[in-house]
Amino acid sequence: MNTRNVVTGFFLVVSVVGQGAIALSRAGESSVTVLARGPAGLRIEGKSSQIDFEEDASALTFKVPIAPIETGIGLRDRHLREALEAEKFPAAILRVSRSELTFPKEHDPAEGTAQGDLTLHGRSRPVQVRYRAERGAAGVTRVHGSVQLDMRDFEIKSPSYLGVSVTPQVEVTVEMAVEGA
Amino acid sequence: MKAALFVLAAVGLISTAANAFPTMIRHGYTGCAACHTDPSGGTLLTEYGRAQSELLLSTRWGAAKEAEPSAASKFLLGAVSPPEALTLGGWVGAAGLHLERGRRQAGRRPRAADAHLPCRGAAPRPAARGGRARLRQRQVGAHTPEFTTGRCGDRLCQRGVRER
Repeated sequence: MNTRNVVTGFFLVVSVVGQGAIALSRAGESSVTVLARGPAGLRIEGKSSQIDFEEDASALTFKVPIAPIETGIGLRDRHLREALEAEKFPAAILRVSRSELTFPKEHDPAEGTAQGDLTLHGRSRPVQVRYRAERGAAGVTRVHGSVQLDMRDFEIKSPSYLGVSVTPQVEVTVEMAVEGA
Repeated sequence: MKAALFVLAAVGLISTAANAFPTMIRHGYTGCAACHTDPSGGTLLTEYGRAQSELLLSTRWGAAKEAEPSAASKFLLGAVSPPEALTLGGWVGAAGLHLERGRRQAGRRPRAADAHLPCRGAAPRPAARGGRARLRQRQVGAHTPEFTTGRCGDRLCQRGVRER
């Protein structure tokens, strides 16, 4: 085992431990990840930590503002906002009927697929939502949900820049902690 | 659990260096063909690759965060716009080969220097005889927005590392 391998191993361990600590410290935060794919293995991940949650007697509503979503490149963020016409349609709104959901109990997580109504780019379409919910301490429920959508269903033109286009299929993942529900 | 630890240790300790930019992987570019005309990467960049080079790898003095790439990212600083189906580029490479034969120094033999228009790439390639570095690249490249690439000439040999 030469010095280079030892040094590599050291940094690997440090990075794994560091990332683990960061992940644990963010356990209580909300996050939205929008994953789009392009040619040659291109992955574009847009991230935001802003999710508004509302509930009423019949449904749960999740609202994600478009403007704070960041992809890691300022210009790409601008293209994202332009493609989604964020000034005109500032948020994506998912509404899921309570009757579609199974709610978790103490030590009994719930997971499944529910039909929701997604409003994006000013158009509303039914979508399948995969979810997992786990009740934690102090009545806080950890929710993980994901939606696969096709931009064409919402009349969004697939972003294309200098000959590189992303596929119209997009995956949106949400992690959040909900009090009550 | 032991097996998993063994695999983790093996990956960490026995792995070799990757000839890629980890920074680009961090930005989601896990393959080369998004930015390079050669699917295995290196040398000639597509128009998109030129833009990403400026956006992600260059220091953009004074440019707004969401600004488009400057003319510096374009072919001939944007003075000429080649057809979309044709990618042109140029660069200059320089390398030297230093040999010693016994006590007598054979001397430095700077080789390199190539400018391309529209040829792709050039790289010194150590030859077996005489210790001379030779340039062995002549390529003409074109690509379409659909990433089909057509080339002719020698195989890309980047900095003498790759073999045909």
